[in-house]
Amino acid sequence: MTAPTSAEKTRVAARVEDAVKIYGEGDASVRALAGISVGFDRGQFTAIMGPSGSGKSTLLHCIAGLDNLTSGSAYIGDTELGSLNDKALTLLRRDKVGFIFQAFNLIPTLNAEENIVLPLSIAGDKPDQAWYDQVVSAVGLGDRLKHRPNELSGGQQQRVAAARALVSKPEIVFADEPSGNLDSQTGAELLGFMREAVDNLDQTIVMVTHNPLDAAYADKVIFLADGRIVDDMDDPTANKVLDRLKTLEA
Amino acid sequence: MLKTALKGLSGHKLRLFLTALAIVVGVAFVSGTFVLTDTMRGAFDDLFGTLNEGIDVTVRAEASFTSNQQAGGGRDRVPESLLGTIEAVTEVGVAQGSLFGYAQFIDKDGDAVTTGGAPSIGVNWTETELNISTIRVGRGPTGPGEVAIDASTAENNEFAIGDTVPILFTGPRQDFAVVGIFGFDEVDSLLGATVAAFETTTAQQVLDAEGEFDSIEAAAASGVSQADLIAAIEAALPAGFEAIGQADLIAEQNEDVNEGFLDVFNIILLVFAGVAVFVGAFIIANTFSIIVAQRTRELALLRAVGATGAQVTWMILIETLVVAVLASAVGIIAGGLVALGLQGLLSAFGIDLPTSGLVFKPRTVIVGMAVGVIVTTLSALFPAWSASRVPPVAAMRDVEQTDTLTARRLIGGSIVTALGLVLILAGLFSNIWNELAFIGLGALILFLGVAVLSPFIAERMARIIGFPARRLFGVTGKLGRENAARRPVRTAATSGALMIGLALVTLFLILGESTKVSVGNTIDKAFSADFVVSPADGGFQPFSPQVTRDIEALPEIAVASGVRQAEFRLDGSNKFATGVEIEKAIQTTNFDFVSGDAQSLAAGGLAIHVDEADDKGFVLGQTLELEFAKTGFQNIEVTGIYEAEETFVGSYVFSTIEFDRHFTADLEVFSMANVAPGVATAEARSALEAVEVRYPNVQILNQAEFRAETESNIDQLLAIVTAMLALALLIALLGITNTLALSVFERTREIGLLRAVGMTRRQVRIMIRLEALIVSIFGAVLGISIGVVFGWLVVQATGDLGITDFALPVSTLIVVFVFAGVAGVLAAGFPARKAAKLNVLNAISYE
Repeated sequence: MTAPTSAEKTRVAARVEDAVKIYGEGDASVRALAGISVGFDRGQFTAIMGPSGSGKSTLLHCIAGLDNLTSGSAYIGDTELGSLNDKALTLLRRDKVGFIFQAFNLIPTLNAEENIVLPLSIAGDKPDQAWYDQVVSAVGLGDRLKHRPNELSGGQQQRVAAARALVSKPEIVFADEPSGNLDSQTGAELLGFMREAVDNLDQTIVMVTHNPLDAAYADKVIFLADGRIVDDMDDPTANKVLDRLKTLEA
Repeated sequence: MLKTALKGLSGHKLRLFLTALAIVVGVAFVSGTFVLTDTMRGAFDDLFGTLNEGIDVTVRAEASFTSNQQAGGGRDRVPESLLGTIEAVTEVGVAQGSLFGYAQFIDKDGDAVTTGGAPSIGVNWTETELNISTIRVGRGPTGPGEVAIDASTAENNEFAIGDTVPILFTGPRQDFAVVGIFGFDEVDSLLGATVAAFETTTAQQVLDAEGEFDSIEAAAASGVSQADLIAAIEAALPAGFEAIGQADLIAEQNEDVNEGFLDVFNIILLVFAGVAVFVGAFIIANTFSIIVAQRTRELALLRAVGATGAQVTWMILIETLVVAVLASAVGIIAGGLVALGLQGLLSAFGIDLPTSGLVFKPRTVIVGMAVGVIVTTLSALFPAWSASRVPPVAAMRDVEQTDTLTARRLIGGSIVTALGLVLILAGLFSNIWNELAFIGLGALILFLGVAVLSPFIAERMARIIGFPARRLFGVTGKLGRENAARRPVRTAATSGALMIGLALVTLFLILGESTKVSVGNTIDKAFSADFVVSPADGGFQPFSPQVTRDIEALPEIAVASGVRQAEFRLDGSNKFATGVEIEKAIQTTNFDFVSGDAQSLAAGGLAIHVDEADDKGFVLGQTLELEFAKTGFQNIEVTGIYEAEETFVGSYVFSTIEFDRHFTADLEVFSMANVAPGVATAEARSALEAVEVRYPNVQILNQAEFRAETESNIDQLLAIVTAMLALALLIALLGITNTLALSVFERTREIGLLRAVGMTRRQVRIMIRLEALIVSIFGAVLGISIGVVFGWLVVQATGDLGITDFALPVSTLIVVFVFAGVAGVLAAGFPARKAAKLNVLNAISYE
């Protein structure tokens, strides 16, 4: 990977340069990221894959501003995260980033609708009504918008989470094993929804997953092993991904 | 299992600390109460030991009973000649006559030397070995115009040898030269009393005891036993006198102090301590049930690997026990600090208590430990039991905890609440043997009942109270509000502790306000006098009748009438007698005789208040058998029945002629004066001010001033009570901190998620603080409402005690309400900061 040109920078929603993350100290230290440089293009759906301990979740957390790098730099748009204090990082997450976690995505005391608009209400903003309608109709929750999370199925909960991630028109959405707790049918529905968000709503999504079926929804797959990028693949299919993973884990 | 229990404890240091703190504070109050009263008791024991050193026998006039009253309720004096009789008894080694009376110093600024409750006494100085005082500087007084002063009074007022000191007596004020300063062994002061010692003949003059002593003390000649001495003296004594062995006398004095004052004091403090413990129990129970809920998975895992339900219960109980024992131990020791604090508090309000080193008795340790362990264990019983009901499968589940409100709770809570209410009403409105116990127990049960029921309204109330939060703080406010509403049982229990504290504060505020209004109205109605003379600075030290005589002698004053008080017995119970010169008193007070009149009372007999007469079935002309300390059983005729306000003239009024016959009390508790016709009030006032300068121990106030003074005395009492209840409030606030900290811990993931999607630290803090605000306002609403109802009931029930008008101190209650809210927000400070500092990444991956 070479350093991006300035033309590339504007195309890139988020990127890291020479990202190193070391956990612990001395003999006990673990090199989770061993110097990674990668950019995620706007309007693209990227999947990050790799065996357990390959650093894929760490990479996601560091680009998303949830964790900081030991060295190197991470950017959302043109903003370098390392220079930001907690408040600025928080506001950046609020305004520029969307999140979909594996579980516990929703606040139990708020209903689906309130959960969707949460980042906006935290900011004291009103949603863009046309955009909101578009997102919500894509979620397909119908009359369950006023229901609380404990009255929704797992798949519905994750779709609400996805809608929340999209509602503030973020620069980029990060998803960490979004279908991890779902059965394959509802998992497929969720991934289909994410795919549509990229195709029809022009969103940018970066997703960590270990499921080749999920990765097949992406435009591009990046493979990590031992904290390094070992390969990437455009227009993946489940079988191609599976084969590649087998060689990585071998 | 024990090992698991101990591990469970050490794994959660914070919750352990917070729980323990509630126990520590409660136990510390209990322990502190005992330490303080034991310390005072010890001080009194030392004093009586010192006072009676070297004395074997005391000779005094016989009395029908011993009055607890400081002055004048007591016995007659003995003639001086009796000293000769006793000295002539061969078994007597040495004897001395002792006098004891009222003598109050005036300091260099011209103010009366006040003592904060201890008496101002004058004694005669003897040079026998029985004199308990030892000269430190100078010499003993040997003639007229000489005085020796106790070291403490001399030091506090900078009196030195050669100074001239004015002293007030029951008779006229006189100047004395200080010739000596003395102590009592190593002690400087007799429990704060000021002591002026005069040469015997001078003492007899100034203490109005010409040719008399109060008692005669004797020590046996060498080789004579005490029993032989008593027998020999009794043989020589004329009728009407008795000889009492010193051990018996000390026991009698101790009993007076202990039963009369210290026991009451101890009980009052223990009631406050009990409130603190009760509130603490709420916190403990709440904390343990939250902890059990939070450990569901862990407990279920234990069950899954084979622990029985009983074992799980025992594990929780063992944890409880360990916490209880440790916290109680700390609390008992902290009781020493509480004792010092209480002492400081009371002395800040002008009540100086005698103390030496702090006394820790085994009883204090045992009671403190028992209270701590029993209350804690009882509080944890239900949570421990519910821990045994955790199914093993819960280890695998991950569901949000919710509070279910059962019908059983509704029914049980209603029954308990009703029971409490019935007990309170019974105590208030029926003639039950122990009203206070009924009211207290009823209140306790009622609080429990309300706490059981309040979850039913907690959710709705939290939403209503939190409504403005949503408006003002948007989704942050909404989340704070929902967090307060989501666990109604927890919210109710947390606010329950505050509810109890605030209900009691409200009750006392209402009683105080109602008393003020009632007393004020009574003053307006009952006092026809222009001026009232009362002890200076709202004190209780009675003053010389000379003050009233001097006032009456003023040309600007038409009449001045003094009021004396003393104790007697009627049908075995102690009553207060009021002594007045009735011909004068009817000019300054509206007696409103229903039957009989002032003339018949002036001739003798007693007048009774119409309510008391109706209550006891006494009628005009009836002869009552009264018991007096001085004269024993006497038949006295009822010569009047009056309607005047009892608050000021009491229920039993004697005119001077009858009063002097049966009582030794010669000091006045207050007196009243009317301006002479044609004299301007301002003119009379400046004449009276001259009297105030001569008698700095009194203050002369007009009606409005007297009313204000009385009200400020009530306020002061109220302030003490509120300060005592503040401890219960402190524990309640601790409970808010505790619950919130545990809730934050429980919601780690949720807070992490909020932070991840863009909530700032400040917003997190606001969210937690709003939750605390809502919970504490809920507690305040419940507490103040219950307090108002209590207050109203108590005022309805105590009309005959002088509280006739129900008054709501609205502005003070608003202050209390605001205080509760602010305190709640402050209590949330620690959990709010903790929540804001959560590491986002750790929080969202927290299991």
